[in-house]
Amino acid sequence: METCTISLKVNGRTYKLQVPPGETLLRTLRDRLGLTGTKEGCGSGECGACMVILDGKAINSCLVLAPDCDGAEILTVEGLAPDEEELHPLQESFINHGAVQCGFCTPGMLMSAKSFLDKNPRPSREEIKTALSGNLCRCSGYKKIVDAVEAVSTNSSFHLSQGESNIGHSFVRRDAIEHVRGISKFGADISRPGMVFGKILRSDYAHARIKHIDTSAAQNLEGVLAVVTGQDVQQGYFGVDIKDRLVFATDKVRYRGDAVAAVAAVTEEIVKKALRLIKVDYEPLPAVFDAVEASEPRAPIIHENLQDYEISFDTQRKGNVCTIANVKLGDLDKGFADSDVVLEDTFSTQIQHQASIEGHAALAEVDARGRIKVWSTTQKPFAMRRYLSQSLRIPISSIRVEATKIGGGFGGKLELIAEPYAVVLARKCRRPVKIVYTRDEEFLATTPRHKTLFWVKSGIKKDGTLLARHVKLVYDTGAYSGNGPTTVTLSCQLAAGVYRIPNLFIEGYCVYTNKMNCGSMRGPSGPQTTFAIESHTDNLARKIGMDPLDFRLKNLLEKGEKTGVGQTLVDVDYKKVVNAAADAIGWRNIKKQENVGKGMACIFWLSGGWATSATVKVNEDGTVSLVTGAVDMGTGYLYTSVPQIVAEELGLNAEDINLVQGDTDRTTYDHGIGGSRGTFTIGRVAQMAASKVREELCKEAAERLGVFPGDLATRDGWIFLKADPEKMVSFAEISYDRHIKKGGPIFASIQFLPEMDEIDPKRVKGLSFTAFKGNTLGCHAAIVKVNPDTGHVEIKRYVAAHDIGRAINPMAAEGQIEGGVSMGIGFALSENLLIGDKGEVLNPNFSDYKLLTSLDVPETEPVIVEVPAAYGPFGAKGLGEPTMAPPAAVIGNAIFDATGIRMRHTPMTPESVFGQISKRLRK
Amino acid sequence: MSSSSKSAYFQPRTLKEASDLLIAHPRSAKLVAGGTDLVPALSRDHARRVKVISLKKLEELKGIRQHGKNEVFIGAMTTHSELAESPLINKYFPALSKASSLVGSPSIRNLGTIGGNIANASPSADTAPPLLAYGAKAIIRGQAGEKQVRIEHFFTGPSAHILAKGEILRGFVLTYQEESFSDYEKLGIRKAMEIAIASACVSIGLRDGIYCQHIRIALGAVAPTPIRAVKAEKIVEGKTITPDLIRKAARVAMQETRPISDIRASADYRKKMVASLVERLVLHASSTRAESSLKG
Ligand SMILES: Cc1cc2nc3c(=O)[nH]c(=O)nc-3n(C[C@H](O)[C@H](O)[C@H](O)COP(=O)(O)OP(=O)(O)OC[C@H]3O[C@@H](n4cnc5c(N)ncnc54)[C@H](O)[C@@H]3O)c2cc1C
Ligand code: FES
Ligand code: FES
Repeated sequence: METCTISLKVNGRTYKLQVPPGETLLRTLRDRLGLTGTKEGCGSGECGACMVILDGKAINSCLVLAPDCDGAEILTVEGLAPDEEELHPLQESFINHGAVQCGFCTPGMLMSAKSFLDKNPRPSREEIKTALSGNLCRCSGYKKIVDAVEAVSTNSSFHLSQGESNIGHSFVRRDAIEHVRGISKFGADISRPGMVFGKILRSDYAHARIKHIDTSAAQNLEGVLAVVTGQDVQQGYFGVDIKDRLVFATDKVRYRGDAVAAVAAVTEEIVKKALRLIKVDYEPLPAVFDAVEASEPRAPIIHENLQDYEISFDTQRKGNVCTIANVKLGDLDKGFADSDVVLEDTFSTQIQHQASIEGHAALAEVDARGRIKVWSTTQKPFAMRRYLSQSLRIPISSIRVEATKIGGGFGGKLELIAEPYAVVLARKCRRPVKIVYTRDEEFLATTPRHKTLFWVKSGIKKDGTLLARHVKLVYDTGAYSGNGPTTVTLSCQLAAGVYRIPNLFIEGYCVYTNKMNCGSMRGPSGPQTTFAIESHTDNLARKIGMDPLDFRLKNLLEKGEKTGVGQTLVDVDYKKVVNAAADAIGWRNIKKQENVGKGMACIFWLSGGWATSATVKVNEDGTVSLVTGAVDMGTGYLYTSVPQIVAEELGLNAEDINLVQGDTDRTTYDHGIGGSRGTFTIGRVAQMAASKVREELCKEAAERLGVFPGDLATRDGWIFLKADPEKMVSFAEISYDRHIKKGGPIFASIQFLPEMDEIDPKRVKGLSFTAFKGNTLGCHAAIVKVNPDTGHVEIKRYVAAHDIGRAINPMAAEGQIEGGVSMGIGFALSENLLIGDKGEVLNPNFSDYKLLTSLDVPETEPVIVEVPAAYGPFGAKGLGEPTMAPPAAVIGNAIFDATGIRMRHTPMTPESVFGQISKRLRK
Repeated sequence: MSSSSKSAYFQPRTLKEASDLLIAHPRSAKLVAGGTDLVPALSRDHARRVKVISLKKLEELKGIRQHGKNEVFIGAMTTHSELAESPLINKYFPALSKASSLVGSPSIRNLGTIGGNIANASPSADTAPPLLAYGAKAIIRGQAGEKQVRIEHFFTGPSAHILAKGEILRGFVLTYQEESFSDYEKLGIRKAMEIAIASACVSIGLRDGIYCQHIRIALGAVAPTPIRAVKAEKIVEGKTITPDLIRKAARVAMQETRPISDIRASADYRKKMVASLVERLVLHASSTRAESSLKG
């Protein structure tokens, strides 16, 4: 290949380079200059993660050919700060305003903002949003990013609230500085000496028998180091609840995207070429893409051996239905018979993708003893190790998984994705192998949110009292069960609602189809169930002419009452949350205007449990290290709330706590991050460990001061006598002496498996799990305006109230709410992963899979409600997931209020809204 | 390996040199302007060995210049940002400025050029309807010299145009008309990063604020190429504008389209949106004019 000689001035330094004609500036910066602060999120100009400033202008470095930049001056995020000590004002502002969540979009955002402010130093807020409109952020909802840029433009300084306590103030995340400097290492940023590249060959058919695979031409291609198929490796079935999946399809492929082979080679170009040389002989089988069709008796069977698969719970399985879950209470027939009004509705929802701006990446390396180290973007390093062991029949002791920084997880990084392929390739070629998913692979072959169908029927009295409800819900789980059974279980619990319903029957079905395997996206089942149930709730209220707010207040469950599955509600105040949302939006005073409407919806959620552990150790200087097997997928809980909790428990400053995390060799077990368990569960175990350490510190101090431990208090790393604070001794002094002189270091390790809450076993059948503790409620309300000429829905105001128990870090909590709402609005209005009639994904890119931009997301007004949970650390509850559940129902209800049109399918695109409006006009 | 199977990068300094390169590598040569359409296509299509011919250094393709009394030249390498910010374009061809300001995102506008937008020949290209509505001519340079072609005749289908071997778009000539109003609107789902589902541009000359002297209506994303709605124009031209007339023109414009159904929208929706866009634009034009003539 011919190369071009170019000279680039990057961040003030001049480089002379040889590059191939077609190389993009992005590749040159990342691969040749090692400037990995510039990120790749799509490679096609659609996400803005690769933004740099080229001769003064912000541009997408993935769209520019390096030879075209000969002689140009380039500024990347690494060159933004004046030096090692000082940050650029934008960097400082991003940190202080909580504008950094996972940090993956941050470098690109900073570069867009910098070039914009250079040109327009005093912009309006709207102009800032326009300037950032080519930079997608999946975490933040943009509000705090716009705040950060605005603050720099108005030169206003920002003071974080500081208090006596570590709890309840907005301690900034300690890793944010790495993100704004562009030095944090995400999955694709890691490289190893001698590393080569891997890629997966995927099925071209949605359903087919594999007759033969010929890899010889690929094997013989120069530069190819390993070609692997299912024939070459020992495989074991794996899966969350039902073990129905193999790493490589061997007999059959079940969706367009199923892996049939993998290749490692010295360059990415050769890998791609080798994949094209592999010949797979398929015998196509009839495929089915619709869950209802798939449930019918004559549908093509996707898993012939369904009954033989290992399963972790008791349920019925038949045909393509892999889970049937029921919740039953009271006498349904009588309930309907006693009702004054009975109403039926159907609703459906689309496939939504986590669409983290960072895709999946894995790097595997085998050492001289054959032990494997895997760097992965996983949310669950320990589970990943177990899954790898199960699926590839490798002893757990031979695997070490270390989580990298995660550029957004949202439940998309919970399962085996790229990891096993990197492992088998690395084992075969004995070189480190890295696999980075492209954006289209993300959309083709990872684990998005389930498409669903709901049929809901309820009976009420004239005064609005709910008497009976019957629900059938169908989840299309794709080619493998994945997290389907658990999602259906959750959906059955949510469908019982937040209301008192004495007679109930909920039937949940999880069905295989020939599509990608659906997993657990943020708040699995939440948006779907809430859209159906809360839209239906409004229909019920409207039917009897009742204000939907009053209808809700009348039927809301109260503390001490039981949910549908029989969980007793403790530490909740649902009405308080609903009233908080209604007050914030001024529900009762909103004036009726043409095509303008208001809507609200509620979601109850649980705070996740599962096993975890933590070690808190005191260093010689009195600082503390927290060692946990958990990771942070971008929400920041591990860099904010958890250290704040530990600090508060110990009587130390949160700044003095260091973290060791997410490594199966160096930390102890954690189940993995998801299920809103970060602050609630990891925070709790860390608090327990800290409490033990404090006890020991106090015991030691009591001896020295000649008092009882109970007489002592701690603060800022000092232990002092409550009655006489002059009498004190420092953590440092005690710890140093314990390390060097007597007794050995002070530390505590705690393991913790939160118990599940009790439910009524008579009410449920076929559920994969019962109920977690830490019940919470969210209630959102909005005002929208519908354009009847085009069907566009404009959100004028959006309020989101959440009971989070205790706001350990209010800014982080707001960030979760704003980000969750923006994802929920995407689900409501624009995001839709489309499958064609051959099972192909029709829109595997950010151009047509539409994440909302900074110009589209309204400025959510978060309302924090605190009803402390006795079980959570300092009363805190989980928050991450429920934030994204209500928007579709809220917006649907508001559209109804504005126009009288009931939207029954998500996303409610302009075309679909317009279609409904036209239909009504024709009537 | 023969040299033609290798990839290469060229940065010609003259149009002649660029055209010769296109002739020398008929199959593998690709012109790159801003690269926003081409570079992603190159990386998708790895097998092909391409000869990249960069247009970066061609001075003849640059600049926005007044040309005689009421003509403006726009170089093919003019970026969308430059068009959106140019005082000259804003003053005389505001719908083109607006269309450019609605392309993709700020960084896409910093890179993408009007030449690339037109040569890429997407039915949804945002600058095409304004060029049609302003009666622009494309300046085409080839081996045989230079010619000017009316933009209506440039597009031949989706991603297809009349450029022959060795031909390069040098720029566009637009003629300014006195006393005219023009505007562009684009429909999509998002407010940025959006390929139009339907778009429309209207340029209209009014006398006394209500009498239509001349009008051009151009539509994007509703036919295999960007089109003019000539029949709809005829309905309004030479008449006093009334709401009824506008509605009729909008309906006729709708009938002139041949949209497809795809993942972005159905043909039916696109059609109806054309009617709504045309109605809104013409109504807006007449009311704006009526207002200003009242004031003036
Ligand atoms: C994220 C994203 C969003 C986008 N959004 C929009 C949008 O909203 N609206 C819209 O209209 N477009 C959009 N586009 C498409 C694209 O940006 C525009 O079409 C742009 O104007 C193309 O110009 P370019 O200079 O980048 O063309 P290039 O990619 O360099 O070239 C495009 C094609 O034109 C040819 N070509 C370029 N210049 C000449 C010339 N002078 N003579 C002959 N042939 C030439 C090239 O060979 C190539 O085939 C978007 C693209 C991306 C990546
Ligand atoms: S990687 Fe360049 S825009 Fe997404
Ligand atoms: S912080 Fe923006 S994508 Fe995660």
